[in-house]
Amino acid sequence: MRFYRETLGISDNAFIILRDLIHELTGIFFDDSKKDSLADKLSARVIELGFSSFLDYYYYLKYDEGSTREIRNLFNLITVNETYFYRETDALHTITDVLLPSILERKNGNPVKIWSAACSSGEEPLTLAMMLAEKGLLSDSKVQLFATDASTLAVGKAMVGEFSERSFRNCDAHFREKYFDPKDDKTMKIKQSILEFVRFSVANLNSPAEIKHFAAADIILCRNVFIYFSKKSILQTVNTFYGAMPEQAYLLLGVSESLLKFNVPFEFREINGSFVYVKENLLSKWIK
Amino acid sequence: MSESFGHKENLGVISMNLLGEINFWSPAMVLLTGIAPMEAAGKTIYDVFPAFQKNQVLNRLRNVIQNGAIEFLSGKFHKDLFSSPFGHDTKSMGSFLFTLAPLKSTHETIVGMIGVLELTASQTTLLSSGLSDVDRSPEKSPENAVSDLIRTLLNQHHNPAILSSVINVMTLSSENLLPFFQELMANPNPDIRIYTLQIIGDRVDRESLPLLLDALHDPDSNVIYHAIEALGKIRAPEAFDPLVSIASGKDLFLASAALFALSNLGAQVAYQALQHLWENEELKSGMIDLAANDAGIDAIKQLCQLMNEDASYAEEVASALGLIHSKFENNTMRLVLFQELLNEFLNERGIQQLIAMAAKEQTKNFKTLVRLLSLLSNLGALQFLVTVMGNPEIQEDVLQGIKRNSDLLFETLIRELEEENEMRVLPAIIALGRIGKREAVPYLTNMFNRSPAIIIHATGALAKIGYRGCYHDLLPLLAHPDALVRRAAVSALNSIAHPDMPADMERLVQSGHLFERESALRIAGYFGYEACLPHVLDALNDPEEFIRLAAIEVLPFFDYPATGKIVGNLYKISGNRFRSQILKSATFMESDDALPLIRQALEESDPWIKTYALRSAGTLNLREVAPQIKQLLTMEGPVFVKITAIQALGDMRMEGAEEEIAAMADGSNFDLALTVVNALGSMGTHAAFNALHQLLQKADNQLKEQIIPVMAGFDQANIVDQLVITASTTQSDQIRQQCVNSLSLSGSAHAYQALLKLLKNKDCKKLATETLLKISKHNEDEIWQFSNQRNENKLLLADFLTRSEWPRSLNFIHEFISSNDPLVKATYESILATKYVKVKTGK
Repeated sequence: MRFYRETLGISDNAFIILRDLIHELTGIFFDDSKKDSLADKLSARVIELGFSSFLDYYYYLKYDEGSTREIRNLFNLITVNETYFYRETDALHTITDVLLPSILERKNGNPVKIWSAACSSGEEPLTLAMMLAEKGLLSDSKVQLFATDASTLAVGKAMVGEFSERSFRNCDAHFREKYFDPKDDKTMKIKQSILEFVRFSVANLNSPAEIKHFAAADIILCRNVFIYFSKKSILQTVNTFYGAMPEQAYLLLGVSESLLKFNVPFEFREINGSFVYVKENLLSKWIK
Repeated sequence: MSESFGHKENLGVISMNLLGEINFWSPAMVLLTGIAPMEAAGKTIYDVFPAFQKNQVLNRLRNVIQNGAIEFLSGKFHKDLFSSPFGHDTKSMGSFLFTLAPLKSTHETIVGMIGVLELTASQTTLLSSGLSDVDRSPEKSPENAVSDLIRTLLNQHHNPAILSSVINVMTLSSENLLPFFQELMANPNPDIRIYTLQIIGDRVDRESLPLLLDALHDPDSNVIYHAIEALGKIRAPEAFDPLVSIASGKDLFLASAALFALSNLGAQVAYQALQHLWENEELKSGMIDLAANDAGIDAIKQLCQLMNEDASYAEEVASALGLIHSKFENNTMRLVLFQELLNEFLNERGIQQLIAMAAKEQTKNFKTLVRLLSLLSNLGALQFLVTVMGNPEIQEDVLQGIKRNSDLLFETLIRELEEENEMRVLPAIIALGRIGKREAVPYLTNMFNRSPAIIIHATGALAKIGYRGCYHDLLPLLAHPDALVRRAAVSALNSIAHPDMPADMERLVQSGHLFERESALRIAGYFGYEACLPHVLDALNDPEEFIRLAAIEVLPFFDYPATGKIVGNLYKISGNRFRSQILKSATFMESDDALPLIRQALEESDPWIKTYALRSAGTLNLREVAPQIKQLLTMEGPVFVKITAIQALGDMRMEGAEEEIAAMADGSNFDLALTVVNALGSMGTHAAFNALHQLLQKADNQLKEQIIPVMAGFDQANIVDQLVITASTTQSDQIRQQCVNSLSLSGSAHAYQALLKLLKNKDCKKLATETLLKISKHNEDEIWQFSNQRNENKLLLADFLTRSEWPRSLNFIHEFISSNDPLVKATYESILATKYVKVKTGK
């Protein structure tokens, strides 16, 4: 609402170029209707760094030696870490009930890699880990579950494994009792075996170098993140996924997200009631 | 091109994805339609062929995708495929068959569609027609060329690609085509007559007016329809009576077209004559359009009544009212009248209709609806506005509406403050600040026990209200643990400036509470309270860095002779953050005190220290350090140091540095190049102008857009000519726009003359006309001079004089009517009739 800027006396010249730079660095685009809320989010950081204008923050982010570190802080400020356990579970059931069994069979003992590409504070991969535990797939090393997010704060929180009541709004009492221990009145801690199963780290989806290694996964979950990305950033990210994914690998997006309007090389399929983007076997593609 | 090749190419193939977006466009499609693959890619077929009726085609596409059906779209048999009577290209789609079939993957899943376009008329291409001869043979006489075109039109009108090219060429031709049109209108084939009417309309060919009026009696109703459309385009007042008669007639297809033509022709007169058509349900949409164009009191009243009474027209009426609102936006008197009329004629039901539409998620006309609601003095409307005020796109309109109706809304806003949801509380706080009523103060100070965001907004609102009575409530916030809250409180207290402040600050700068002390130091410095100076000096040595930072920030605001010495000593013993603050503060010091610090700082390795030193050097105009600054331009280091160095040299207006500065815009970094342009602009020297001129020659379009307005600010004789040349020769619309804008902002007679000159350039004409329309002060001498040069120039001014509300435009119109040139005379007679003369309607 541009009130912070007005009230705190931060000069907003060059704010637009700062907004565009943030898009370039993070893939997240704040259109005109949201740019004031971005300004409010950044005002505190601008003051904390001792700057009196967004222009200096722009210079800092773009040219200063400390900018790599600052981009992490930026993610912490601008990303939305609103998620909960057992959110949009249809896609997760498709993984555990359909995709995973067939990949396990095909890979004949080699581990299956799953990557939760925008895991926020960990609720999504931990839900998947609980579902895998239910299927008895946690004990051996047949499945590897990686989880990343660009926000260091969010990943830090995920690695601690402590969650407030808000994270349980869609979680069955059965799972809650089985996989969580109360820490205090307001917080529950997830069982160590579940937490340790997920390999958390920090990665920026807008940086191909950072995500290429993770994208070499049999299943990628990248949900509720493209809604904040520009078309250009979505295409860059999806192409990085495609380039690194093995053949016959699967990409799952959030229910309100779609790649149909983009010219992407994935095959689009409906599997078990979920929409899945498939990187097909290249040979079969040619034959077709 | 051989006949057989032409025959092979009569099938065009396209493919589309599941959304109907074209992703393959065969070469034959290019020949058949004249549309390149790049133009079609990513679009839908109804985008590519606008004559298609979108919903009809969409239904067919859905049937293919969802049910795997095969659809045939035939130009001959499916008239419903074409757009409403207001569509333009209905007939030009001619005889074709478009077959759509599903495209399936190996798993039998539908993954897209394939479309085959087949032209059922005999096939030939544009290149094989006589048209290509016209284009390639310069020796051909115009008569022959036109004859070729006519022959092509007669023989090849079934081929859409050829037809559209012929129509284009004939539309753009400057020849007198009346004899040809007479011949074509006598052709027994109604399609030929329709195309002819289309060309006449697009040419705005007044000479052919009798043909159009005759065509209103054509036996074919499609021909009549196109004659009506052409009359609307020509805006011929002679057509007024016949069109009114058709609009009142029984043929609704023609009546709708006539209403649309009349809205072009002079909506006000037409509206008066056709009010009885409101009774006709089939013509209501047309009447809504006409009322929107008329924008008179009766029209607004009628629209409001329709909004009150009939929900099925609510969206159309809201759009019409929105259009009227935007017309009046820059005319305060009319806007006030519009507002009064809305408040008088819209009843509670009508207002609820507007609210219901605006409340729908992702409403297309959300902004229009909110702007209309903000004009209403109605509690329901205002309460709705408060709930959407968080949306920055409409915030300003909402705030204006709330401010106008503050008495009505005050209680509602106060109630909003009790909400738990922060996103509802914040807009209410902002609104109360804008309204500025003192009665809100206790409610706002009650917010101080809530979240930092709410407190910051509340202090901002209190600062806007500016009532000293809240002073004692604000004071405790100086000790708040949140740094932003403290900063907001300092800003609010500074704007209130209570008489108790000097004494209170003297007490608080000694407070044992660190945050309170830090805040008090900032206020004491802002006002330069002398009694606080000893405590500020003490604070410079405080063990807490944030206290020291606050003290050094405010020290230069005190009239203290030893400032330079103290600061110099502190600089030597401090870390980088404190040094940076010292250099920021140096901006407010005496030049002699600041100079040694800045000299030293420019030698430091920390880039931010250098940056702040450069800023202070520029502001204080310390030319003594210019050689050091110039060295920084070529030294290794972060770009922002170079940027600030260039800015400093620009601020100092360092004559002689222009070339060194210009050399930094080497194309490697846009930020740097932009700074160079601005610095040269602020230097304002002849050498700076020359440097900019040279940059303009080699800059890319992005930088050119920045250079042009800066160059226009120079007082140089040849700048206007430079802008005219650039506007006339550039390929970039943005650059052309910049040049024309710069000319309009100049205000000189020379620049005005240049704007008129640009009317002669086909790429600039529209832009120059629009710009002239926006200018409030016109140069009559220049217009006379321009129009007296050639009769063509008088015609170039026609669009401007027709649309201009400048009272003197009438003088020019009258003058041009007495011209010896029949075309000028006829054009301006028509303009006068449309613009000023009330045609007798007999109603």
